[in-house]
Amino acid sequence: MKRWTYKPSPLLDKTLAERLTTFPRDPSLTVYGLRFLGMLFLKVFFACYFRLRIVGRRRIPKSGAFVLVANHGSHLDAVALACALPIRQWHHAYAAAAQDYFFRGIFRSLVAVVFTNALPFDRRDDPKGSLELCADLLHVSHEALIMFPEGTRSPDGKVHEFRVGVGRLVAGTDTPVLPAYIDGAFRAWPRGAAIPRPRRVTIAIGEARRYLEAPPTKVGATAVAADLRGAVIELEECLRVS
Amino acid sequence: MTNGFAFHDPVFHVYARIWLGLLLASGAVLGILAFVRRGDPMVRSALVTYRSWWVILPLMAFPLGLGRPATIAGVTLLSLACFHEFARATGLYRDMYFTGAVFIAILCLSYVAWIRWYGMFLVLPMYVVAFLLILPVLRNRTEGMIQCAGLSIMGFLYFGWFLGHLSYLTNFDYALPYLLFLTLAVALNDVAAFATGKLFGHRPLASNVSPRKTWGGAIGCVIVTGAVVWALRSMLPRFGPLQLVLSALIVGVGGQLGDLVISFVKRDLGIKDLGSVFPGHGGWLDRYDSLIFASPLFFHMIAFFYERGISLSPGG
Repeated sequence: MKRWTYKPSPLLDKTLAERLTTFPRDPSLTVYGLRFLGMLFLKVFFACYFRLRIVGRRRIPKSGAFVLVANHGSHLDAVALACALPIRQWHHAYAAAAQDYFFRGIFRSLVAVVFTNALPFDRRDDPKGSLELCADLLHVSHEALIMFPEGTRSPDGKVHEFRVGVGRLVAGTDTPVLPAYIDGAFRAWPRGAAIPRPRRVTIAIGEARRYLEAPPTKVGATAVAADLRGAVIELEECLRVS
Repeated sequence: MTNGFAFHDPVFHVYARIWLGLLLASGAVLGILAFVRRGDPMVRSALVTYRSWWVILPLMAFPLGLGRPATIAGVTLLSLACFHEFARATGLYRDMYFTGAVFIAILCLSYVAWIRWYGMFLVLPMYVVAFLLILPVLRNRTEGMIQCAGLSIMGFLYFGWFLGHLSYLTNFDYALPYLLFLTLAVALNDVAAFATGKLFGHRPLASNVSPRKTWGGAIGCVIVTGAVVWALRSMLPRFGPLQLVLSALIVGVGGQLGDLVISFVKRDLGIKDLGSVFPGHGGWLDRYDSLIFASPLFFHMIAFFYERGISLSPGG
């Protein structure tokens, strides 16, 4: 008789707080259910309160790995992008979130994990390790990644320099990278504001780019980051003109 | 059991006083021990376990005090938590179809208990097993499916259906005293099993399953539980000597068997604790293993003696 082999969860003896901050996480039906219901609610809320409009939604790949890169002006950004994704991708798209901010305390971690499927990105102590996690997510697990390469929320609403991390992640790979520009989130809920205001939010999603030819070096990564920033600014201008 | 609050019920008051008295008394004993034997790791671990009881007891007593809907909801959540832990320990949690099916089946069972449909309560496991067995066919998959289906069936029957009897018990007359009795007796039985196992006996009960369990300890535990049942007899309506003896055996023997069942599961999986929700105890299953086994036995004992006219139709 063939013996059964069991693969217990590696996080079996960890507390809930530890389980939330460890990545990759255990798949949990409870979290999936909460995310589904929470996102449904947020989709309706964003449509009514922020009159969310998404341009270029069809450019999002239906399956497989891709990176969605956007400007970052507000806490609304990650949720707004998640709203732009089709329902079946809610559990397969991970938003890289600052570990020192979003994974401080069990409540924040829970909100980040449930609503944005957050991946704890250690931007201070171990950015390289976090980039490796992201690379595994894309190239091994073939999941999607949402990134804000500015690294933090913009203080003035403008698109600031992109850090090279995103370039390192995709330079020399065939992973599609979609630039996106989020307009209005900064006006709705800027840094320091207590409550989001009802402003129109629009997301423009650009054509997928691939950087197979780009050398996986610092120079190559910097060029990729600059190119992506240019693509995001281009989308901003397109939106302004239209 | 009524749908309204039961906090004003005199039986609830008596049990609340017993719980509080036991907690305070054991706290005082442990406090003295901690003072006398400072630095003793055994006393320190006992203190951690004791602290967890202050969380476990309100978790059990509060839903009972809130009434029938909260009790059924509490039992459902407990079943789901136990199955979730089992699924994580066996690796079944990676298969969302099977875990999802069992989650939904547990919710259905609770609904059946809520609408008092005894016939369906007894027959539902058949439908669930049938569905779990056709799930691989529907998915057109074969690899590892015997294991997934087998673990799911065990998960639903043991954690969903066995514990679900507590939900259905809320429909019986005098459900509140019975449920309060069962939770207290099972908890005390666990403590007695731990204490007598340490104090008495050398002959191992099931050396491969749980090396620390001895025959002496097991028999001692049944005697202690018998004494507890005897002490609580005035709060068990309709119970005669035969029912009291049977209750003592169900709690004393059934409780320890439930403990051993989870022990063999853990041993086969090669893990010590199934979780870390309750410091000093482990996970949900480590805490409620004895209740799972004793619940259906206690339920059917009552059903046999006092609920023979129970209707199989909804609302019966």
